[in-house]
Amino acid sequence: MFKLVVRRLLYAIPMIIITTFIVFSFILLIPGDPALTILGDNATDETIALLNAELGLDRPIYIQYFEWISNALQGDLRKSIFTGQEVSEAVFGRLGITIQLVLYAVFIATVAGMFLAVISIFYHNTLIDYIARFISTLGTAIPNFWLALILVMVFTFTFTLFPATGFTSFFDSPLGFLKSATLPAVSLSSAGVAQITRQLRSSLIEVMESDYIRTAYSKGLRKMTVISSHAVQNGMLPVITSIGLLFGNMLGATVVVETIFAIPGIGQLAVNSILQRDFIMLQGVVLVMIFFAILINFIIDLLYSILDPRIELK
Amino acid sequence: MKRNDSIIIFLVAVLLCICVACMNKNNGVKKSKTNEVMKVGYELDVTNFDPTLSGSGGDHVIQWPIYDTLIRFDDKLDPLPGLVREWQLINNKTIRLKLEENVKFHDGTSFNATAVKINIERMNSKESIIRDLQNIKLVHVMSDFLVELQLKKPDSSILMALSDRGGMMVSPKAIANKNHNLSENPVGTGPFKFESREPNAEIIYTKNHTYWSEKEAKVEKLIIKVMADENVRMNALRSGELDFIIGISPTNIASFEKNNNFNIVGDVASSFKVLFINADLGIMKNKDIRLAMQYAINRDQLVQALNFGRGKAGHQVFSEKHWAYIDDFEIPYNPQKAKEHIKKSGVTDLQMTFTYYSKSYETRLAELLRTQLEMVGFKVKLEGMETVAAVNYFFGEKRGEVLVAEWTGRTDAQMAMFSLFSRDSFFNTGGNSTDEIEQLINEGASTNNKNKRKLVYEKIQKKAYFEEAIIIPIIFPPAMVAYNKKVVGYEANIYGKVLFSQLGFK
Repeated sequence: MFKLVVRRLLYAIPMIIITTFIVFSFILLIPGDPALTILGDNATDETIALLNAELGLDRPIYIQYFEWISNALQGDLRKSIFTGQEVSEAVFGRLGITIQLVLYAVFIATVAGMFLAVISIFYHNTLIDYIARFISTLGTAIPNFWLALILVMVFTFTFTLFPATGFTSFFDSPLGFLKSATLPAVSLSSAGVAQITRQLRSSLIEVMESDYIRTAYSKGLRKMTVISSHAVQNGMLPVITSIGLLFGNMLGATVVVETIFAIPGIGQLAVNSILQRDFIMLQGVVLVMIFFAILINFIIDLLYSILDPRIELK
Repeated sequence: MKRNDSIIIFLVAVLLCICVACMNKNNGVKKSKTNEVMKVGYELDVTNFDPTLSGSGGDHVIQWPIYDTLIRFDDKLDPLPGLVREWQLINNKTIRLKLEENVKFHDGTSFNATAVKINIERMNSKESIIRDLQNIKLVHVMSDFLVELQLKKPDSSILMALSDRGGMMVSPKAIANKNHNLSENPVGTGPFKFESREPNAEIIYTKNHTYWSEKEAKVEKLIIKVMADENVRMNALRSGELDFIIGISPTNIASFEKNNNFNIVGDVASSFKVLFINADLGIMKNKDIRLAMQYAINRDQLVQALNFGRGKAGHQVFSEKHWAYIDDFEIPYNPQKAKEHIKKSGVTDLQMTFTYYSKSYETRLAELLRTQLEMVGFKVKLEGMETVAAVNYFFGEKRGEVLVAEWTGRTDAQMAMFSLFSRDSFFNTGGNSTDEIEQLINEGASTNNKNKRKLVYEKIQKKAYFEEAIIIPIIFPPAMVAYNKKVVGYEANIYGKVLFSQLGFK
C-alpha cells in the first residue's frame, strides 16, 4: 500500500513540474506589466524598472520559475505582488469554498445523471427516453454562465428562493450552504449531467444484454429492480472514471461561476490574479488546482478497485 | 493491492478532502440588526491601504472611511475644512494650516502638527509613489496645531492635493512601528476603523465611537463587497444582499427606474471618455490628422446612441458644475472641416488603430467612433484589449496610436491641466505639447486666484484642442448609483466618488 502511494506521488511530481512550467510561461507572456499596474499614473520608466527588479520580474523566465518551484517544494508559495498577502493563506483560505461547491456540483451531476440514464433505459426508445436525452444534451449545449443568469432570474428574482450572490460554508450552516450553493452548483453541474447520463445510458444498454440480467428477469424481478439493483452497479464503473475528470473540469469552470455569484473561492481568486497580473498568486492557485485534480483522480482509482474486487491496483 | 487497503486509503483521502473543504476564512456576514450594517458593492479592491503606495484612483472610496484628509471638498470641488480647520495663503509659496484639536487616531495617538509633518514628509519620501506634494519643500511645525508649508515654487494645486491621498493622515505610531504593516492594517482618524479584509472579496469596517466630528458614522459596520461585474452587483442589490452599489451603465438604468424598491441617482461627474493620442506614432504625428479626428466626432450623437440621452457631450476637461468650467466652449462637429484638415495634411493612407478596453460599453463607443471617423474618410482598425494590457500597451510600451479610455478627474484643476497637457506627463504618451502651453501651465500653478486660473485654463484648452489636438474629449457619461430606499445620506459630488461613511438607514 505504501509503495503504491509513493509511486503515485512520484508519477505526480513530473506532471506538476511540466504543467506548472507551461502555465508559468504562459502567465508571463500575458501582456501587461504588474509594476505599471501597481504604480499607476505615477509610473516612470525608472520606477517601473526599480519595481520590476524588486519583484524579480526582470530576470529570465527559467530563473524565475526555478526560484518559484524551489520555494513551492518547501511549502513557501511566496507573497502576492499586489496585496502582499501570503499566497498559501489566500489560496487555502478559499480552497475549502471551492471544494465544497465542486463536490456539491459533482453530487448533483451524478444524481441527476443517474436518474436521467435510468429513466431513459426504463423507458427505452419511448418519448420519455428522448426527453431525458434531450435534457441531458441541453446540459452540454447551454453555457454555464448563461444558465447561471437564467437561474438567478427565475429562482432569485421571480421566486425569491435563493440568493444571487454570496456563500455560506456547509460547516457554518448546512441549510445556509444549500441555499447559497444550489444555484452555482446547478450551473456548474449542467455539463456533467449530460456526460454522466450519456455514459451511464450507453453502459447500461450494454449491461442489459448480459446473461445475468436475463437471469434476473427470469427470476421474476421487476424491471426497475433489475436496473437499479443489478445493472447500475456494473454500468457505473466507467462513469466513476468520468466523475474524476468531471471534478477537474468543474474546478476550471469555477472561474466563471464564482465570478457570477461573487463566491470568494479560488476560481474568483484566479480571475482577479489574472486581471491584476499577480503572477505569484496565480501560480499558487494553479499549483493547488493541479494537486487536487491529481488527488481526486487517485481517489477515483481507489474507488474503482473497491467497487470492483476483480480490479487490483498495482 | 488488497481491497481492504484500497478502502483504507480511500477513506483517508476522502477525510483529507473534507478537512480541506472545512478550511475557509469566509464565514459570511453574521446576522445582526438590520440598521447596524451597511453593505456596499464596489467593482474594485484597494491596491494598498497605505496612501503613499496607493496607485489607483479607485482606492479613495475604500480609504476615506478610515482616513480623514487635511482638506475636504464640496460638491463643486471647492476646498472645505477637514482636519485643517482653517488655512491661510501667506504668499504664493507659503500656506499656513490651523489644525483641528482633540482628534485622535484609531490607536489613541493624538493628531497634531508633528503628525502632519511626519505624514507629508513620508508622502514625499523616495518609497512613496505619490507625487502630488512634491512641491512642498519644508513642513514647519509652528505650534502643536499650527503648520506652515513652504513650497519650492508656486503651486495652486497643493491645497486640493491635501484633499486627496496626499492629505490622508496616518497614525505616526503605526508609521514608526516597523512590525505594523500599513498596507494591510490602516490606522487613521476616520469615522470608521479597519476591522478586516479578504482580498478581492470584502472589507469590513467598524464605527469609530470616539470620532472627533459631528459627521460620525451612521451605522455600526460598513462592509464593502468587491464585485467586479456590474450585473453581479445589480443582482446582489435586487436580492437584498447589498444596500448600495456604484457604477451602473446607461443600458441598465431603465430597469432600476422601473423598480419602486430602489433609488437610482446620478449626474455627470469629473470623469469623461477621451481619446488619448500618441503624437509620436504613425499618422498621429500630423497635426491636421488629429484636428480632423476632433471635428469628425459627433458628440451629441454619441450621448444619444450610447447613453440614451444621459450625460453630456464632452468639449472640455471640466463638467458644468466645476468652478473652472468654461461657458460656451465647444468643439464643433464639423465633418466638412475634418475633410479640409485631411486634405491639408497631405496624408493619403488614412489607416489608424484604436486601442480600447474590451468591455461592453467601451466596445460600443469604439465602434461608434469608428463609424463617425470613417464617414470623413479615415480607416479605423479596432484593437480591443483587457484593461491592464491596454494601459501597458499604450502608456507603458507606447505602441498604440490612439487609446479610447476614460479620464477620471483630479481634485484640483491644475493637476488635470498638467496631467493631460504637459509633455512630461504620464498620460501624454507622445510628449505632444508646446512651449506656450507649458508656460500657461506654470502660470496656472503660480496663482491662487480662481478667476485668473480659469482664464489660463481656458487658454490652455483652446490651444490644446484647436491648435494641437493633444487629447480629444468625447462625452461625460452619467455617474450612477443605486440603493435601497431605506438608505439615506448619499450626496453626489462632481468628483464622482462616494463617501460611504455618510450612508445610513432611515
